[in-house]
Amino acid sequence: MLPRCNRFSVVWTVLVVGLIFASPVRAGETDVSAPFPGLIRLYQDYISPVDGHRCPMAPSCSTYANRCIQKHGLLIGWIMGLDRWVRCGRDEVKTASQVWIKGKKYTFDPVENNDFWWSDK
Amino acid sequence: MNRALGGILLGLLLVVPVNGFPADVVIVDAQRQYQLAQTLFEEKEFSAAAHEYIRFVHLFPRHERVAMARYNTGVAFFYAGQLEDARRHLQRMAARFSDAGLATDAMFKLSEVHMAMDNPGLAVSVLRNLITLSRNGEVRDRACFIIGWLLLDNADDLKSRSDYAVYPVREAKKYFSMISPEGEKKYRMADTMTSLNTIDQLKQKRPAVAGGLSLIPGGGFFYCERYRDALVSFLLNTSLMFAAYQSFENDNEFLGGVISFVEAGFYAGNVYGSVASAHKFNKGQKKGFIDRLKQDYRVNHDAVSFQPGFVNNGVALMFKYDF
Repeated sequence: MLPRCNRFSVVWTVLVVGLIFASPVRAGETDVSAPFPGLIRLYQDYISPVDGHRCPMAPSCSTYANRCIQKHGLLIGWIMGLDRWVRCGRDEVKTASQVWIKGKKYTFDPVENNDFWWSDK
Repeated sequence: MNRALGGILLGLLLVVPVNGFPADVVIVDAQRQYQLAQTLFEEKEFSAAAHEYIRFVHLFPRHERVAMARYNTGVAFFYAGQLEDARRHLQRMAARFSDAGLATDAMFKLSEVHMAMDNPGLAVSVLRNLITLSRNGEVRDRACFIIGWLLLDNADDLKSRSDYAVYPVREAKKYFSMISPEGEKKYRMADTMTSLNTIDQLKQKRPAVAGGLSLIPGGGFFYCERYRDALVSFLLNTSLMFAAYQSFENDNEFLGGVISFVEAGFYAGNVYGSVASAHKFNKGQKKGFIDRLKQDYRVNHDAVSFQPGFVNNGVALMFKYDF
């Protein structure tokens, strides 16, 4: 019999691995009913309008993460999304090109700018 | 009585002309049809102009201006933004290549159409064919010059496409070196090549080193001169690691697990972002270099302006180069 904390770790690991690899979302698909894209939609539909749109990047971090997941699957999409979250509004502003959307300046940082070195899609 | 009435009616029918309104008759001759297309083109009604050129070719298929009309059709569609139609018409002309005709211009224009369709690989292929087919030194020089710049402008795009697995900068140098001595003077190739040879001396970041350094969170970003990203990455990752450690230490496995899961993502993101930053740094360096080179030495071949028109009752095409 495993000790209590180890049992929990096993359950947690199975849950995480299951979430990542058993997700219906795979590269190229656009199933927003999967856990992560669903959470992103939830954030975009209910939290972001109340919280206010403050992301200085285009596309916004949540849209970027969603596109990464749709393009590269859940695991890589999740990693790319978190990487973007760290970079949001910082050094990228100095290096990337700027675009004007509805009279406001944004830093243009699409998925293609961050996967060009390994993805042909 | 009836005979007399019949005779009067017959007389009237014979007297009244069958064609009572001769002013309504429009006779379209080749000159007028072509002029209409030209006028529409000059008024920037490109789509309408293209269709009038097509009508001209249909109505006067043996006219001496048919080749010009076909070419103009492609150009008009190009300016109208109907790129697929432009491609189709110019491709047809290019297929009947001869150095004397307009096929050369059609091939140059076709390469522009492919570029506009975001297909630099095909644009280069068309110009390569032109170099193979043409015996005209000036045409070959111009094609080599444009290919060189196309390859430089689209270096990363072409390199990433499996159907064009070449090293674009090296290929560009190859095409520049194929330009004749006369062409070299015209296009200032000696200066361009001297500058281009310094591309290897550009400051570069090695993605593998960035990835290795990112094992310490933020190290890769720091290496790529992204100091703010480095600081945020370091603070965020170390904080989450510490929080996870504390949670496990306090027997709070659930919280520790959740934090570890999130931290694993941030840590992987830090490694990914570092490698990507090195690639972006190198790409930016190359782009900056090529932009400076373009500013200093490039003959503006993109500004080839097309002006169809009549000169002394003949047809003339003018290509203008901005030096």
